[in-house]
Amino acid sequence: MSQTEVLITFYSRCGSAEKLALQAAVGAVQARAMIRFRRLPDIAGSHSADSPECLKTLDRLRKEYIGPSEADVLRADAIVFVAPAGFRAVSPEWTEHLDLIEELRSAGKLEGKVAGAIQIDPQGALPAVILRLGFIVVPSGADVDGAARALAHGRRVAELANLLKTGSSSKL
Amino acid sequence: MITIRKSEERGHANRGWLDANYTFSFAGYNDPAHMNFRALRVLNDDIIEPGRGFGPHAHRDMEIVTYVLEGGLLHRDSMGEEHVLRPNEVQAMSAGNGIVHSEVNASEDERVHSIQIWIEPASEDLVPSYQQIAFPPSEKQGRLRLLAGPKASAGESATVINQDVRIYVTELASGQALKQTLEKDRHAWIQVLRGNVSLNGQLLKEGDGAAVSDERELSFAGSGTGGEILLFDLA
Repeated sequence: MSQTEVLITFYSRCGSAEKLALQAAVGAVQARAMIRFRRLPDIAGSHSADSPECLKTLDRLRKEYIGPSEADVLRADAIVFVAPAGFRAVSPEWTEHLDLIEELRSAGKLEGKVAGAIQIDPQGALPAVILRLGFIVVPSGADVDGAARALAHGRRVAELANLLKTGSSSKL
Repeated sequence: MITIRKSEERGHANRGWLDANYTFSFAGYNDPAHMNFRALRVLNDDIIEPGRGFGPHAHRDMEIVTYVLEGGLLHRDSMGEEHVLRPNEVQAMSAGNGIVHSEVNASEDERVHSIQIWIEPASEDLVPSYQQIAFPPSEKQGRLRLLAGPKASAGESATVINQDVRIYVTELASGQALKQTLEKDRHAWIQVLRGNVSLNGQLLKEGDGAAVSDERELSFAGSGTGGEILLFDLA
């Protein structure tokens, strides 16, 4: 049986959400999953001026990551979405990708896929948005520290995906 | 018995930004006859173009040792470590139960030439760790300088890896000789990083490797303009 694949999809400009994405990935790797990072592309004019430090990080992020494709979503057994503070489903960077996910859901292509949501603001809207998208959603834990929470959540998502994959494989 | 792995017989990949030679199977290069030697699983010779590199990716249960011949390699990881690795330094990262890191050329102008080594650890699920040390070039000239070993040595700082493997580097000038004795039941891998070096009378050229088993005495000598080698002492 092939290794469980976890797609880490995130949006970050100044690196805070990227740090959580990295921790979620470590959690998934601890659960022996294979991971793939995808950063949502920037939309020109959607943000006010960034600090010089943030611009430096943004330049690096743009070089190091590519955006998610339909094939990435279809190939993944599980997806962890990671958003910065202030996430809104109508944020320009997220709209196109969430529309793609919705199309795949309507076409029945997300069945059996697991997802989790991590947002810097624990009261943010991302978990509710993910819940509506047809995934098997893993609720986040109540760990206090953001990095530890992200790691634990990435691990839980991968563990559930492992279990579902093992279960579906044993029925064949 | 000494078995030479010729430089030109290694796996090769050129992605434009990366020109890599693989002594053992790696990524798209898969040769069942060259999967590993003892616990030495990966020995990659990478040239990375300015400003480019390996974006964030994960490792698990592997001891990863990196040595730079030219330029600077910027390392960032999920433990918050961020360092540039330069010549006459060595980096050892124990992936343990999971780590994510990136390695990119720290320069926008100059290429980086690095050697990446993967050693299978003695046990799984270890706590990830990162070490980086620097040493004066004189410490590798005409003698073996320990880069990594299973525990901290008393006399010389070296990185610690979770396996019974010692990795040395040495630079030999033309005609300069060096002897090393292998303990009983130990094996060795020799990799020529630069120049030419003879091993027990056999000439090894840049990029060549040699697997050594059932031999006790290793005699090295710089050939031509001399050379730099890695010596792996393996169980």
